[in-house]
Amino acid sequence: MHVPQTNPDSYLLWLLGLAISLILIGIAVTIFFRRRIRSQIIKNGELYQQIIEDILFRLMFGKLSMEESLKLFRALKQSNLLSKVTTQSIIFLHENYSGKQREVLEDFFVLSDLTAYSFRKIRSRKPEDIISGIRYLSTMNVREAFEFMKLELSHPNDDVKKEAFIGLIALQGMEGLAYFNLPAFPIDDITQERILNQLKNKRFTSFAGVHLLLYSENESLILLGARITEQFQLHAYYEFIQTFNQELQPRYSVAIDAIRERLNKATRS
Amino acid sequence: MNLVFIEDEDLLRKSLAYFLRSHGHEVMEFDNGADAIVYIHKNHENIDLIITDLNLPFAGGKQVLHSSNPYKRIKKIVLTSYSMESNELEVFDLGGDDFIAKPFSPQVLLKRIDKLFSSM
Repeated sequence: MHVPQTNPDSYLLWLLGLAISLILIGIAVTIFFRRRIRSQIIKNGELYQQIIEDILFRLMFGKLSMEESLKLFRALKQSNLLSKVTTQSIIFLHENYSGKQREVLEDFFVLSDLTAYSFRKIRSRKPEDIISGIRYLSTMNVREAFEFMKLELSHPNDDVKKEAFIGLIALQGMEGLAYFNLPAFPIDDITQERILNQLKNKRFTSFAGVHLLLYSENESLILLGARITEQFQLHAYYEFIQTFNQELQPRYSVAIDAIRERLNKATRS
Repeated sequence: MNLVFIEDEDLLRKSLAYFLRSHGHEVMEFDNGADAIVYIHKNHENIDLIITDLNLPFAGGKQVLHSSNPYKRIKKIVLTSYSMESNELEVFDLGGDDFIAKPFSPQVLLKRIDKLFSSM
């Protein structure tokens, strides 16, 4: 290799060129390996997805016993990626099926120890992980998570707090409201909508506790109580909703109007 | 029985198709309404039942129902995320024969299919 020694300027230039070339090579190598790792993760994820679908479908539809399914699952190389793929698949299927399939999925979730993965998430420092953990555990009806979710109601991150409130209701419905301090922060429309969906999806039949929302000092909780009363036709509270808190009435006029229409229909028939 | 099943959520489509096949049905799967409509027009003589989601890419479930209405012998069941009186009425007005809201029991779906064909 020819190294110019006579001219210091060209020597510096040569050194600079060498440094830039080395940096570029370094960047190229890093990109190459990162892409390889990422494509390997995607490949592994797809492979896991296929295997997990096969196990879950056969389990859900009675072609494989719980013991056989767990044996097949435990034989796989356990990793965070496997836990993530399996948990997300179970959650999705659980949200779409009811009855026996739902119960089987809940049992598999607990017996395969996927709850540990979700509890790790709930204990994480990252808000997005905590939110995922709350969603997984509340969807799968893991009652042990109730106390953890109560703590998250005072998390500094607003999204975590809202998710914890949804999770608590998803776990124990309106009856659970008596076991924690109702939030003082505003519950926005999207959160209210998600709570209504959880109550519908989980098919709660008891609404004892809805009065705690209606008597709350948090206006958004009163609104939520009115919407629940209207959606689930809780006749016992109709009169109360129509007369309580005149100042707030315009905010829950949709619920009040729907209730009045129902009452009128009932009177006519 | 020959079924056309249209659902854009992969996991739900694959799992329900697995269930229906395990009960002896031939299932043709589609993840969008547009492809399903083309298939239905070409193969209507061999189709007994269409099960479709309402919210689908390219052409929705309502378009699927509308397109298959000329083929009177094909029964149609609509599968959707929310059960609302207005939605259900619209589905029946568009020619749907039955309506199932998610989350649902596949065993109940099977019973409804049996009932739909036993009443023919």
